[in-house]
Amino acid sequence: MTEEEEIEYIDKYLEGALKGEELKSFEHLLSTDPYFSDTVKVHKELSSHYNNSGYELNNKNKDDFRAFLKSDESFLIRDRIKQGQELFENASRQKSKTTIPWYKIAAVCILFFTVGVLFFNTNSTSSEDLFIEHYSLKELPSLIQRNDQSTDLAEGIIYFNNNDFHNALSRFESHKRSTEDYSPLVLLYEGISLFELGKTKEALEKLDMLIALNTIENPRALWFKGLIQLKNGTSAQAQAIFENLQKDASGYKIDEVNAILEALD
Amino acid sequence: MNKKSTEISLDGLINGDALQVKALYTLVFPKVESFIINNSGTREDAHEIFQEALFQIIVRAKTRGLTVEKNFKGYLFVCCRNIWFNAINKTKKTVRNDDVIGLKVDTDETLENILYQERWDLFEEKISKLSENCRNLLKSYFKKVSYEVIIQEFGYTSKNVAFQRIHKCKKKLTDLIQQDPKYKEL
Repeated sequence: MTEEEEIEYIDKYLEGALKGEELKSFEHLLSTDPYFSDTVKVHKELSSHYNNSGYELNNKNKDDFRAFLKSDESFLIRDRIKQGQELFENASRQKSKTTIPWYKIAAVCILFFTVGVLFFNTNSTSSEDLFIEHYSLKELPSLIQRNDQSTDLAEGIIYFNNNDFHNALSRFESHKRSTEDYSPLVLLYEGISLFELGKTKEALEKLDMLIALNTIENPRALWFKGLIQLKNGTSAQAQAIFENLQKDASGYKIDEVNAILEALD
Repeated sequence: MNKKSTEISLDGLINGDALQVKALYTLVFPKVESFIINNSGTREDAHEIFQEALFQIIVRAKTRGLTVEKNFKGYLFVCCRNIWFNAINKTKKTVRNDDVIGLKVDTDETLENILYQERWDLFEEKISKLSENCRNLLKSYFKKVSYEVIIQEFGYTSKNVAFQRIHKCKKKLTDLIQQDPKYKEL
């Protein structure tokens, strides 16, 4: 087997695409060839690394570490951190109680702006970090009524909320086929489901369809389209989308949009 | 402490300077808080995560000689993010569809968070040794971006060319990881 064939073989195994004899012979190799077994483990962990889904950690034989974590010094460190937090909390409370003259506010604004610029410049926030910081499905508006549990749409939303995006998409599709006048929000849910399934191009197309309808949901569609571009690492496209959203009269998520644009600058 | 905000480093932390902790709270905590709240957490979770990340960094500096040459604030944010991801992943494995993500901080949890971060650091160090093209390509590949999009974005002539290039980069990264003795120790 060439190196490329080996990698392809491992990919197939990790995707669950090996069946029958092929799977048996893979598992045999896994249990008899330690180097091959290690390689499979690294491949699995790389996928977890890129998707933040955790590693297989071995925390056995770490007694020296455990001993330090239980030492007096360790408790002292935690105390010092707690003290730092209290100083921060007290300073925050103090600041909110004090009336500050306008010229001091102006000075603080300048200082914060400078620190902010320094922070973002030295921190080199990546588009991935910005995506992680802002991407949330919690704020999606509801599409169904409380007593509406049996329709395709309701089932689709339940699948969606359970992160089963494949089944969610099939229910949304059925809903659209059986309903003449469906809510434009269905397109948003479809776009996000496609994105969650790694079908970025199709997800962006769905959001473009929603934007083309020119409904009240436009700012929300732009918001998710921008976030998907951030996740893609295509910062220039993301910046153009967020600049467009910044100009929207609705002021949708304006503080977050401004923060993203400042970080992207 | 007469240091300016931009001079925050590991040394002040190791020496148990509570004012240094306070300065880090002022500079980094708002970003961490916003990240945790946007990812199903609360302000209390953010405080716990932040303290755990600071603690973890100090412990690793004291016991394993951790050094952070540049961008300490960025590294602190990454540690917070990883502790939260670890908590989320464990919740997903145990109770599905539960909005409450508990962060239980004890010796075992701290140890696990440290090992998680060390594994993350090792992988990132190896990824940084690849060419920029390889780094971007592998990121798209592992994020399951379709081959059609990869061909378009990276300007390849065919799926086969993209496939070959991905496998070459993947092989290089796998070798770099496997050849590092630290990988087996973690």
